[in-house]
Amino acid sequence: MSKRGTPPSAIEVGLGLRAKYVNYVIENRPDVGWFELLADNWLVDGGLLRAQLLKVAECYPVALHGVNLSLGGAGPIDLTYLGKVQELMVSSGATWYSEHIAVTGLDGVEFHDLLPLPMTEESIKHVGDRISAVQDFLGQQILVENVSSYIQLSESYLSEGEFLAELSKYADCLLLIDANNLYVNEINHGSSALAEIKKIPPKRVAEIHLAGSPTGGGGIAIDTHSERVNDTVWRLYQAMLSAWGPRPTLIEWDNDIPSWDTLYSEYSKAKHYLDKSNSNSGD
Amino acid sequence: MPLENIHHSYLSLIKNGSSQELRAVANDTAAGTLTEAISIYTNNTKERLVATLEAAFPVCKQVVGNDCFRAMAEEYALRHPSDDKSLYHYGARFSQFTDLIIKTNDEFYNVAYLPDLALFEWKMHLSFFQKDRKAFDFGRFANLEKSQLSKIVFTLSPDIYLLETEFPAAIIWELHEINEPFKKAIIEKGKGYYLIERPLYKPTFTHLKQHEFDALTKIEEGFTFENLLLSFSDFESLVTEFLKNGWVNGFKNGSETR
Repeated sequence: MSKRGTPPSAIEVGLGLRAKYVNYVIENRPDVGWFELLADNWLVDGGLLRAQLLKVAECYPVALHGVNLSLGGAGPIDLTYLGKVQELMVSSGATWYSEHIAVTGLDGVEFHDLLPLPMTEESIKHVGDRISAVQDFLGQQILVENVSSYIQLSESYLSEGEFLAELSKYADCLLLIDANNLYVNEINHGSSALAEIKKIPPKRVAEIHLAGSPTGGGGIAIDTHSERVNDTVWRLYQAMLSAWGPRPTLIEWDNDIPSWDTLYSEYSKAKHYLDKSNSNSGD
Repeated sequence: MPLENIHHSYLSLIKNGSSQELRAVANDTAAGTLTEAISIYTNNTKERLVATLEAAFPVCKQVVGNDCFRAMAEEYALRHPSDDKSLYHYGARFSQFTDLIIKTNDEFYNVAYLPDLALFEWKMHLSFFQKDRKAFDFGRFANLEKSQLSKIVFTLSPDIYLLETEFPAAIIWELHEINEPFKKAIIEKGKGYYLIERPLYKPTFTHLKQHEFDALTKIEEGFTFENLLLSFSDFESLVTEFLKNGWVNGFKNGSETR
């Protein structure tokens, strides 16, 4: 399998660019390390979105993040869709492309949600082969992200950290670890996020996601990306930086989208921790 | 194969709303019951589809009201699971769906124009994402031999959609744009011929005369220049106008198409 691509190297904080902020960003050029674009929102042939995409990509490093490839699905990988993603990578100059370790569609039906896989050897081989097919098509490594889950699949016997370590080794891919998803899974499945972090090989981790979800209500935790990052997740983030060293980090906020200033305060907080980690690693 | 069973269970859940298979392969979590968890997934999918329809059909939503539109959107989502990775393409059959709704529900008697309005909004929505226009190649056109000229087929700009409606859909849409209380307006039947376009970034529309609409339709269908001249006595002046407006933006050899 060819691996011609360059893994992510800019160790800076980025922001998920949502529609509400696009004009502000283009007009004001705020000081942000990089932007992550939800690939599926920008897969258009022309018009305003295309023009905005090119403008943002002209001013900032960008990465693409997908939600619909269905790495955990059945049937062949949708190469028509992947070809469009590839074209978007070229036109935006995206440094890397990440996707979720999830089932997002089957048999022609698109779920528009991320359904989990059982953490088994069978899943590792199944998803790993599909990741390899994607990497072969794109000619570079991709990043794959752990997802939140709300059900306990009875076949699972590996822990989340073990699964991610084995999968990244099998597919020779990189990992995007979402701290909030580890936190949500800790609540929902009684795992220990801190323990899982230690099982993930640092050399595979290429990016960290941070997001906020409601806390303290009891019951199932839901990954809403609708609030500030909570204190537990900030502590997890610091543990990740200690365990793996500094990594490109992204703030995601997808629902109840706040003012730019609120989002930027989250950015600044992440930057504070990442700068500290960068300076420690340089000592 | 356990993984195959899980795939099947997910498909049953999202496509048919049946959780029976998933219950055989999943358990309660430490934080909640399987029933609660399943409803999170089904709700996530439903809410995304409903929000997508709300964004694509804002005037239809205003016409019938939020609650009614939501009920319609939920029903549509149930009947038409998404079959495209891009949510920008979700809603293509909403106009036909509204047609069925008004024909089978008496309380919709005063919004018989809803299918036309939905179609109008859908075309505006599609136009927004289409390829950008390229300039007509007048130099190449001028160099065509007379024998080649008669065989060429004009092409419409990629952002253009032609629409024939039974009700004046654009009037309702325009009233929305200027925020008039159009719910009280009396909308009577009356043919509408429209061209929807997006010259730069914002979709807009033009009222067409019927013969303009017919000529553009025949261009879209791939009629040759020769056939168009035979069909429309004023085609030369029509096509001059279409070129000036950027509606016709290219041509190809007719033998390439039909």
